[in-house]
Amino acid sequence: MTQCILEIRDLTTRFETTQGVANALDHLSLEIYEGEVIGLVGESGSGKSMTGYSIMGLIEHPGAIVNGSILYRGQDLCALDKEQLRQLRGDRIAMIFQDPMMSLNPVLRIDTQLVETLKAHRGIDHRDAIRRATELLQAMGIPSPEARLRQYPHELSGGMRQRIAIAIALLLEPDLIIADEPTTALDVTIQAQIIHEFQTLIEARGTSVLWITHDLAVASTMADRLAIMYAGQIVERGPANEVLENPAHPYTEGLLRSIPSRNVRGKPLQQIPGSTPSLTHLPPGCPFAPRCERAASICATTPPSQRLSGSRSTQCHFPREVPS
Amino acid sequence: MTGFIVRRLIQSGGVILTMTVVVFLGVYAIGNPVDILIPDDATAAERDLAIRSLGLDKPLLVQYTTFLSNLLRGDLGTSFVYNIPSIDLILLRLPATLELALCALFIAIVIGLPLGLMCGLRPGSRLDRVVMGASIVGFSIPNFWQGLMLIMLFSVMLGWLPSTGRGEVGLLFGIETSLATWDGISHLLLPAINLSLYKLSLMIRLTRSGVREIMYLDYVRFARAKGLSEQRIVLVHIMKVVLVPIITVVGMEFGSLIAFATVTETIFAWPGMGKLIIDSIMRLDRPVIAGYLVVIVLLFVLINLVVDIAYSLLDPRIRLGGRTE
Repeated sequence: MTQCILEIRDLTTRFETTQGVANALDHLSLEIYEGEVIGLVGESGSGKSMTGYSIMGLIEHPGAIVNGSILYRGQDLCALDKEQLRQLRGDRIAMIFQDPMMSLNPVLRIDTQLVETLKAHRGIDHRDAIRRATELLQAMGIPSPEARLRQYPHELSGGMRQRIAIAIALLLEPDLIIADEPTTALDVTIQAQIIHEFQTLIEARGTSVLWITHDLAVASTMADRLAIMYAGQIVERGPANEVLENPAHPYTEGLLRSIPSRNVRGKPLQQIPGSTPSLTHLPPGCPFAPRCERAASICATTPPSQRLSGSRSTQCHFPREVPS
Repeated sequence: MTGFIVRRLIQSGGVILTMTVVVFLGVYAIGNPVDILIPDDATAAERDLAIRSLGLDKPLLVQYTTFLSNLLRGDLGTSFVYNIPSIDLILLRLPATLELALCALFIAIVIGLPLGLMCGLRPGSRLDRVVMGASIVGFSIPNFWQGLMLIMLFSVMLGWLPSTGRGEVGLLFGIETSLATWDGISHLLLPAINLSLYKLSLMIRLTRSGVREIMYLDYVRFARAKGLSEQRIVLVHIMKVVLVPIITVVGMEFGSLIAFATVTETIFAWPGMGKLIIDSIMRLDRPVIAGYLVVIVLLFVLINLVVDIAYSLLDPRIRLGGRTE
């Protein structure tokens, strides 16, 4: 962990809807260091994907980044014009999406979709582009890549398509890959294979990864550090093993208790009561307070500020003490 | 692919055979042509002779088989009115109608696709609101009234364009067409616009809704995430998907353009098939009516076949017959 390649400072991404203003990201700060894998964990609607889209500059109307900055190697992405951002996207920062059935264009052949990515960023001739594409498909564990290249997405399985999407993201050897739940839609066995191949490739290249997931179990196998998201904020952050062993925030604790494999056999599975709050109608204090077992009167009125201790931080009035 | 085309051809044959029955029965039901063909003061013997010579005294089934076997030899009967084979009469008028329909389709596509695309990419913008409003007008105005208004505006008041006839015809790439001369083009313009306005509105709306549906899908977002240029995203990733349903509609609408050119041809006195059929119905010219219907059915079948092939070329998911590894 040497150099910080991406630094998100105080980022607010806002959606103005007919129901009111919703801050999908609420003063979010996060650093990603060279070669590290950060697991960004949270429930649906917590703003995980929005974090990815904000970094990529893919927030669409009626959403907009209204505050903060995203520094990529010291350069603010929010200040770049469209063309500069386009050049960065796919080249230095790549993204993989959740649903492999939907992320490849159904009417374009696989080779087209790989080669166009290379051509968008490099003056590369067609034959070299095909060679490069073939190499990567092979590295992603795709059998007979030459034949796959001539096929259309609908002729391939979900796992195969996700491998191809990952290969596209890796084509230009980016510094950072944002992986938005890339294995959620897949079988467990395929998921394990893909994670393994992906890990091998990024470790060899020293690529940083923002691994977005709702699955703490997956995040714990991948991530060096974890960031737990709730209602557009990061409520807890720290080295993965420390957060998993000694969660400080009650929400993290709740998430850990809801993992079936951690449950004591025969006992009912514990869950976090309630559901994620509506972003347009957040409580005035801590957004987690209505679902929190530790909540006191202060939680309902005053939003907690961030507490730092060593490599960890929490946003809670009553965090569990962690051994330092 | 070949298997697919062969299957489609066999199906088409079935459609055409069914149509001949409908055409024959339909035409048979219209009046008695003998009343019109022979003079009012003819004797009963002369009348019987005319009926026998036209074969109208035979049972319906025999008449139908005669009709069908003649049809297979390309003989659709001789026009009662013009006294030349009706198929020749129709084929003589076909180019004018095709020209009109193709020009109308061309206008609808060349203007409709880009406008629909722009509106779809910027929903709610001023352009979008204006174009959407105008397309509702284009949908709602009755064709004949719209034609009269066009004549009033451009021929009567402004005096820019002629209102009737086909004008001078010249050769272009060996085909006789109005597009070869300025006089021809000026005559073609008003009827083509009149015929196209409805299709233009349809094209705009179809393209717009297609773009709106597709532009928020993951694969478009993924294309953006890959850093492709906006131009490539719109023209390749969005447009190629949008085109799939549009091709089908264009094909279906092209058939109806030919079939419903009738109104426009009548208003602008365009010497096409549509005007011929109206005239023939008025005069109970059975062979021409039957011939026209058969030609229209053949055209529809042919267009649909072409559309299906184009469709499967565009959308790999429905490429029938499959692809082998």
